[in-house]
Amino acid sequence: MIDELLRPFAFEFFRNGLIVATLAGALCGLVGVYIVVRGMSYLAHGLSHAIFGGFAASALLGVSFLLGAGVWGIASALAINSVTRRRPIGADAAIGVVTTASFALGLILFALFGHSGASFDAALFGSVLGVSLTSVIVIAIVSVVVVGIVTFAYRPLLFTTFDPEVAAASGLRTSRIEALLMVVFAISILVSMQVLGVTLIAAALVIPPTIARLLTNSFSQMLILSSAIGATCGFIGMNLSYHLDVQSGPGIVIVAACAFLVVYAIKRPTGMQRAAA
Amino acid sequence: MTNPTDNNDGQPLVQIEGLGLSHDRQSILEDVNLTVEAGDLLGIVGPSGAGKTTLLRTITGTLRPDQGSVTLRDGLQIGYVPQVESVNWNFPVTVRQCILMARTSRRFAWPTNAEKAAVSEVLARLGLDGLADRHIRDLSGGQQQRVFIARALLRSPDLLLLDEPTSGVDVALRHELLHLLEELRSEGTSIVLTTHDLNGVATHLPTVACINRTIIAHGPTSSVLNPQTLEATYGASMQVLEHAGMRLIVDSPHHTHSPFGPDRDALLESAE
Repeated sequence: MIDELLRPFAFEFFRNGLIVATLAGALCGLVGVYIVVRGMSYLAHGLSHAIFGGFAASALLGVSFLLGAGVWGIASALAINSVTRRRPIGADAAIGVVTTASFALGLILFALFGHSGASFDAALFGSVLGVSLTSVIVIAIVSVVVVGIVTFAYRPLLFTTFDPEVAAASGLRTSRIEALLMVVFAISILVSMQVLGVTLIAAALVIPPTIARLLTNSFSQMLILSSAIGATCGFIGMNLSYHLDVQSGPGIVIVAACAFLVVYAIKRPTGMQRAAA
Repeated sequence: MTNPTDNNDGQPLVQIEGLGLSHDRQSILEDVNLTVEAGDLLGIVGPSGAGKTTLLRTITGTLRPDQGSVTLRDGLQIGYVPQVESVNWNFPVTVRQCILMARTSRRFAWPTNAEKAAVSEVLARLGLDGLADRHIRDLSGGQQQRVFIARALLRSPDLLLLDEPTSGVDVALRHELLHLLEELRSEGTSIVLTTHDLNGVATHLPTVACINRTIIAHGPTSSVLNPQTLEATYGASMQVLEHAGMRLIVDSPHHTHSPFGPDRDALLESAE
């Protein structure tokens, strides 16, 4: 039994995939807190689909996936931020327009020019295959940078997220802080896409923070809990995907969904929470 | 927005001159002139859509005027208390975290010893001892209101701006809140608040400004709150009664004008 569980660790691709999945889980869990508490879960879904457009374009143009999809993803994130701030439409509508258009463009590019470069299925559902040492280094660097941003800008990020009007009145440059958050979302999604896939990454951004929210009323504790839950789901899900011989994305997400169901069943809402719902 | 001056002595905290602001080609504020002096406890009253909150936002600098100027005294610290109705009560934040987020000079989550002491002091000052680790939703209405005042006070403001602090609160809570503001003012914090509560203003606030896109009257409450000014402001006839040394404002069943209709100019003239 133990031998069977440890067997995949003999393969370098699996070890790399496991590290990336664990880091991606933690990273998505961390940044997902800012998405969930803003009530912008749709952003997680939309931004990953927008990045798919860049993924398709970079594959066809033969440029680095990180470069092509990165530029595309950041541009989409800033476009959403800009449209939301400057026009009298809601964030959900802005996300809907920008990201579905980008996703559609990616699908058209694949349909017209074929699946050159990275695998279409791997992009959509995630794959442990092809996770290189470079991928490990890239996600490790991004994780350190994002943890640094969340740590060193904790109060401005919290203030802007909780109460943007008063934050602005208190002298914070909230438009810059929100743009920074959008870039952090885009980059986090970008480096996590390889193992989680376009269609399922939203779950990694939304489920761990939702579980953490059920467990705590403290923002700082939520950040820590959500990261830990995301990392655990990434680790277990990646092992599960190997043993069930399924794609990594569904493996990780199903573990997170099961964790949510368990916590949801255990943590009954208080009277005041029921009243607020 | 300008911040001139070398000497604060005698200079108003806020000087608004010829302020005009519109949104989507619709005028919200027109030729607003208003001065806030040190020691003021000023209520801004007017009908819904009169521009009360917009006026506060121009003072905080979150809205820029299209015309005119808002001049703040050099180095003026402003504390802003939003409407509690706008707060997301499900947000995962404790009382301590809510108050500390206003200390933006420090960026980390964990507070310094000086900050811990300041938080304890402001919580005790507002009767919130022992509630620091509670979630903001798990408080009474009065406590919730005071948390946001505490957050503003942690910045040691010279001027406290409150947007509709009496909105949606019961009589006891309104009474408690207005007394608290009187105390804060006596301790040296100048205060400007917007409200629909004319009787609360008449009873507790020494100065009032009536606004309906422009300032219709500004001065001592006893002289400003008269039937002519109120009709010019609200477009509705009101009676001002004296009872046991207090002023009471009651609706009149007769004689109603639209505040935006053709009678407005005549009403403005009569108020002047």
